[in-house]
Amino acid sequence: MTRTVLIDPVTRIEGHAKITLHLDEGGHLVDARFHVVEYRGFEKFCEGRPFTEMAGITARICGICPVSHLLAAAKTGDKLLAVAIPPAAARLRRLLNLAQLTQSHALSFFHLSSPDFLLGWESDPAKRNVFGLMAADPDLARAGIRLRQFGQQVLELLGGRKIHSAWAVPGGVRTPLSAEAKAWILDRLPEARATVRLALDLYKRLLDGPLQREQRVFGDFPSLFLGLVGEGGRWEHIDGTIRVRASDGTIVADGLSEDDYHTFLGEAVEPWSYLKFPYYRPLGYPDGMYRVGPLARLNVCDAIGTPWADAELADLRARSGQVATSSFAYHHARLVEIVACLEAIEELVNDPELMTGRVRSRASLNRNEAVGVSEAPRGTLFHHYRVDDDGLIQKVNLIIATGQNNLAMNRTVAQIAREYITEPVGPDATIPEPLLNRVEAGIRCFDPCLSCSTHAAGQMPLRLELRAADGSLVAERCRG
Amino acid sequence: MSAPAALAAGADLVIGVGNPLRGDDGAGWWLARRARRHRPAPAVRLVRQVTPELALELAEVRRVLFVDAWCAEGPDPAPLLRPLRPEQSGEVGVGGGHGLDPAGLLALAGLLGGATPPGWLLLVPAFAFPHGTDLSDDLRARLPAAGRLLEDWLAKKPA
Repeated sequence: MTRTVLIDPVTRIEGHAKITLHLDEGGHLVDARFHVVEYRGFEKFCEGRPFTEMAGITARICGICPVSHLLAAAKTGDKLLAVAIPPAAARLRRLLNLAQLTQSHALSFFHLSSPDFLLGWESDPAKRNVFGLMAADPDLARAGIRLRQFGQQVLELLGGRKIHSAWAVPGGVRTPLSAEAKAWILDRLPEARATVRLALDLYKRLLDGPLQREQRVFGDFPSLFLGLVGEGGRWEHIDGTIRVRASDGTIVADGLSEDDYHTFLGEAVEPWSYLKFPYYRPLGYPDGMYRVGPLARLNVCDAIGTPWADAELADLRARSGQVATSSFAYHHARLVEIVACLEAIEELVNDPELMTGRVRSRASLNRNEAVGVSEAPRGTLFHHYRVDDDGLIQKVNLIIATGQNNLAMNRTVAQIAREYITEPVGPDATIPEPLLNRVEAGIRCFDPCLSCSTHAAGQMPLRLELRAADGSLVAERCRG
Repeated sequence: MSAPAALAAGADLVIGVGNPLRGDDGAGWWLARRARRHRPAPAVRLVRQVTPELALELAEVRRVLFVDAWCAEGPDPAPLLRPLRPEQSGEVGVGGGHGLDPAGLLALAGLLGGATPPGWLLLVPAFAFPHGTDLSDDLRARLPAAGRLLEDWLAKKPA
């Protein structure tokens, strides 16, 4: 009789999910599945709305990274209007996305994941949180909270609010940056840089010591990586073209346009999850598994283009490989991207073009179909709209970063479970806390946002199930 | 948009919590906005989630009031105003995903700033959470009583 382990719900991620570990008749692990069990249907209820509302509507998909949808929707709207946006607007949008990446990565690293690193996988789960972090390293905890606050306040400076701003619009943005806001950003940048320096030093020490096993077994496997790159193969987060690179460093595809996404991306479905399984179409499903997000962006680019970030990228590659294949390296990649963001923010706010008053191009509808793309904190985000001649939405397709990592998340969970379930599991088995936490942590490497990827409502606790070969439940453990 | 407005040291702070696009869940925002009419006006923050960054602001204020909707229980639920004790129970990422609860935020403020401002919680009975900005008739009938509790809190001297 085969059996299954269930982790339900998964904690410290955004959304609601469960994990099942499937055993064969001998009690050996044969498979693991990451199930997303919530559904919202955002694509459907956008139909009939004016495309000009899409930025405001789709930003509501998520309270954590609404900027990503805002920007993808605005870019899609630009193409429906068939306009080039003013240079200042392009720079302001970039600034918005950099602030978004900073605050989201700070949340993931400091609030959600660092308690595991600093307090230990076997530590009391009741203390493995921001309070435990305050007790263990108050300076780091305080600095992390202030770093996220910095990113959030830049979002508020630009968009008027921290979340669900409708500041980016088809044709540009609504308002320019004030001189006072620019001065505030420049004033806070040194502290933000010091914080990420502190975090990088700490994380590298951990990586050289107690986190070596996690780096090796938390989802280390070959796959494709997909992300935007700019001119000369530079790190990019909003413009540029799409590049796909294999684990051996080969560039599988380059210069791809989001307009053609349907030719290189397919979306498979499985009956046990609401989260789709996107794949690289030329390799088919599931061989076309690819990863997106901070690690993928660093893997596909040739360089970042700013001095400190490039030095940190070289260090990451020295530790994890020219193409880093361990999903655990997502944490390191987030810190490197924060460095890149802070350097790019400094360049942008000192760019005279940023402060010019022209921020919006105006036009009426000139196309009936368009695809927009941007890099969300969790990876590449596609918005595809078809509209009628009145600009009303007829069809929407959203390809979300977390969904694109779905195959890799499943593979990561299976690898971790195989590493830590070394003995046959008996019929009276229980699920030990360290296993529960490590399997959850495997998912947290990707910092998934299930509210976005299924367009779902609700919380994100985790449930772990252990199931026998006949499907019967052997053990389960819930948190949240 | 100008630089972020810093709270005046020793200010009273009213934090409206909820989602104004989900019916009665917007009651916290509605009442917190109303607090702006009081003289002297308190600082007001409108949030969907109680996130750790707010603790940095709490460390600066004289006292704080959280205003939130509450899933009504019993035959005729009334608004409640009660003191809040710091409690390290609201875990970021556990259960609530990325948020804390008000008691957890107070505790975090104490850890961050060394002092925890006196805190209160004003709970408004909520009955319906549909998509939309309208408050239900049942909740509207209780807004005058909730408003009086808010005015009482604003008029009182610091604890």
